Amino acid sequence: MTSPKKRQFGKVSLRQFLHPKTGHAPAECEDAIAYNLSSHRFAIADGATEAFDARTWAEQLVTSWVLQEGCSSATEFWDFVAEQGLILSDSWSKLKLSWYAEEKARAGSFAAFVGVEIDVDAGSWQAIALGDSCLIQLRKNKIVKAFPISAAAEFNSTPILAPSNTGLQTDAALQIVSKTGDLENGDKLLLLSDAVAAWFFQIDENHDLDLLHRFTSLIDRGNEVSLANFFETERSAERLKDDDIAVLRVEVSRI
Amino acid sequence: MYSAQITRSNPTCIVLLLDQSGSMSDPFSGDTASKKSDFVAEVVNHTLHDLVIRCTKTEEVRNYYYVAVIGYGRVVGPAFRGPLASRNLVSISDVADYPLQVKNSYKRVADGAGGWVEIPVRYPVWINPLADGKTPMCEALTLVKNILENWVAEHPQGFPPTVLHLTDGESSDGDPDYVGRQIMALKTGDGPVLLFNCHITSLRREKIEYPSDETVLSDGFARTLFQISSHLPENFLAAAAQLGVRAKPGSRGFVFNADPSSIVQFYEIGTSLTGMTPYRWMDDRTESA
Repeated sequence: MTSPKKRQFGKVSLRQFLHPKTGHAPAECEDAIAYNLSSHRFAIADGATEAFDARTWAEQLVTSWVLQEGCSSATEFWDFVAEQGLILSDSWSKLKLSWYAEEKARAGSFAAFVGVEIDVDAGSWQAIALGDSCLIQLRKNKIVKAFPISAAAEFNSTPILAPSNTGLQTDAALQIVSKTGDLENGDKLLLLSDAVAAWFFQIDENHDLDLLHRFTSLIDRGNEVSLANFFETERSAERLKDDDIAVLRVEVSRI
Repeated sequence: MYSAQITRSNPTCIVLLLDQSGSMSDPFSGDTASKKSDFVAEVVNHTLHDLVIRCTKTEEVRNYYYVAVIGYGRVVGPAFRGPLASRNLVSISDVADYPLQVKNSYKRVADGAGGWVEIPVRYPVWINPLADGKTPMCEALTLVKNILENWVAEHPQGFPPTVLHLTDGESSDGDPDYVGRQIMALKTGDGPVLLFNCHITSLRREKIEYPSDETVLSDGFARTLFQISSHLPENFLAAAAQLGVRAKPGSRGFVFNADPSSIVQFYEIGTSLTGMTPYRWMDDRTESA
């Protein structure tokens, strides 16, 4: 029996991109990104447009999660969501709300979430997700793993999301999924909100290598204006649904 | 058709047209304890509540819809009471901010531990029950036509307006066929105006929901309403299916001898617009205070 080969990744680089729906201000984008380079935790969330205070909920989930330890099992994550939900609803209780805001707040807020922690010593990752935000692992620009969704056709308009009022949505706990994977030098992890994830899977399924290459090149260069123009073109061509976009790309490499 | 995205810059228009003639004070569907006008006012208030909630983004109500509530009976005109009285067409944010009254009630909700608790809720009211006078349906439809002529001229690419007409009897001022067809001939680049009709009765009669063939209708007035009822577009058929309502391609937006559940579904389907999940409001509110 041979011992596992130990891999070291001394460099973790990242690119991030947030873009609102067409015609919306950046402040109206309800997707959120957070990362912690000390603990190598990365997360995105996609606040449900119909929900109350969705942007705050998405931001709170990702910023709190990357600062935590653990929270990578379904049980731990559900407890984390419940705790965060109480904090959020407590913040609302201090507000004097109109009847309609009160009605929306009663139902709580909702967001899709995916978070990943990289073990740079072991060369592995562990991720947790609830909803339709996705993690895609690329090796030499080919998909090695994708979760919790792995094909364009798997997206629908009614995903189960992380609720701020867990008491009203106990079934959501059953939809939490976790996954692990190994990393090789130069691997990239893409965290994508639903619309851009569905687009990515579709162009991969169509073997549209040119489009894939343009996307990954733009992400690598990190030019936000070029990326915004690229996605607006994709929306105009109706290849990309007009929804908020969150892209967080993490690349690991040896020193 | 019927696929235009409804946005603040490209809103749509919803008209709730209500028979408020004297006969609306009669019992409803054989139930002597319940007046037709009371039930209809409650459904309309819930429908307006639902439309506001759909447009609520945290503490802001976005103007995706403009709403008219037109009544006809002793008078023909806006049925809104309170701050919105006398206004034909109202933005949904004004609907949200200017109800006639906000009442207090209780709602039963899950406590998260398998049980239920009652929590205080507030719910607004915009219209009161009204039943007085004859049934000037043609005059009312003409007012709707005038409102919508302006609307489609100003919103040529918008999702077409939807008219949800509820009545309990025949027109007292002529045949509504001509003006009904005029309304259905109005259109935007996304399709013709949608006119749906719901007939209710004081008697307990067999209801006919969303027929595709007028031969199932034995009543001449029913056939008139059928002919001025639009076909249900695909999105609305999907909403009907979600509610368990039998409707199929070719079905008209028409219900005859509607019972209480049919009326609720009529408004839920009629306001589903772009295929959004119908909001089921007939919930567990327990008492008003």
